[in-house]
Amino acid sequence: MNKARTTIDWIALVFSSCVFLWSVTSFDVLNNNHQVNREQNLFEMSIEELMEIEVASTSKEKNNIPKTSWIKEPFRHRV
Amino acid sequence: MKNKTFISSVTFLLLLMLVINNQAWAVDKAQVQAAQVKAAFIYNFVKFVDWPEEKTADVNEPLKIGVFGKNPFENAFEKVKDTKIKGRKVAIKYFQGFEEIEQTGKDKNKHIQKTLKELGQCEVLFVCASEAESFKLIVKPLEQYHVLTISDAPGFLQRGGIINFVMEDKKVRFEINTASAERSKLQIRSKLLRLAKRVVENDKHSALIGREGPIVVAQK
Repeated sequence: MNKARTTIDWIALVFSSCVFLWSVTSFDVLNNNHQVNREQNLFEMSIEELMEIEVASTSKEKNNIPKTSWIKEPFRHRV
Repeated sequence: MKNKTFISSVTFLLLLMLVINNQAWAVDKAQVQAAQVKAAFIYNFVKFVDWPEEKTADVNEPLKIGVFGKNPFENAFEKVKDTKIKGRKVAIKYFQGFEEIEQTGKDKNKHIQKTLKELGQCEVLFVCASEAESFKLIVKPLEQYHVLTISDAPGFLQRGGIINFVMEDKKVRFEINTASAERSKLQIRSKLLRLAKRVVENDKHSALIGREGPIVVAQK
């Protein structure tokens, strides 16, 4: 019985450690050098510089082009 | 032994809470960041757009950037308030959206004409995604006021909007509808057009609101 409990404790400990590590690595500030610094004045940047900024988009913002796009691929061409 | 199990359980719960909290914070931070970058884009767009004389005649008049609807920028624009672009002071105006007006039980139709005139005073207007249902009521009538309309909601360009933000590989990109800009008598400089992800040059079919259909575009 005691041996079983110890095993459960160890599993819990290892699982907790994994969760902790995952938590730390998913921390945006630590794992992304391109994150916008709140203090940085974005308004002084050029459009080209702004285009290089990586923002961690939410699932909602990932791509706001509708899936059933009104622009059909075959119709895309330059006039 | 009981103590050990208890400690492990508590540790696990605390870590779980930390993860949940971390994720929620990260999502919130991401939203703010994207909005901040978009605000900076909007400020920059002003430098690449020329308005007709009737809109720029009075240099003492501030250049108004309007935000219509549920403001996603928080106070991002505060940094540029009262700064000067093209020799004019920048003023930021926030307008209550039609959806918000509707929620308060007021008559939406009564407000439309009044609001349109106020919105028409702006040089730049960001139409928030909260107003997606009202795009057709806002965008087309604003052409006569020569307003640079911007949004980040799907379907904005085919409803006559001029610039729309899209996300690509976690970066903010933008599309331009030059046909709509021409109708608004706005001149968009070539540099901005070159940087756009997509340029819509002919949006004749865009009148078909809510319908999918061909549109002639130039894409990078």
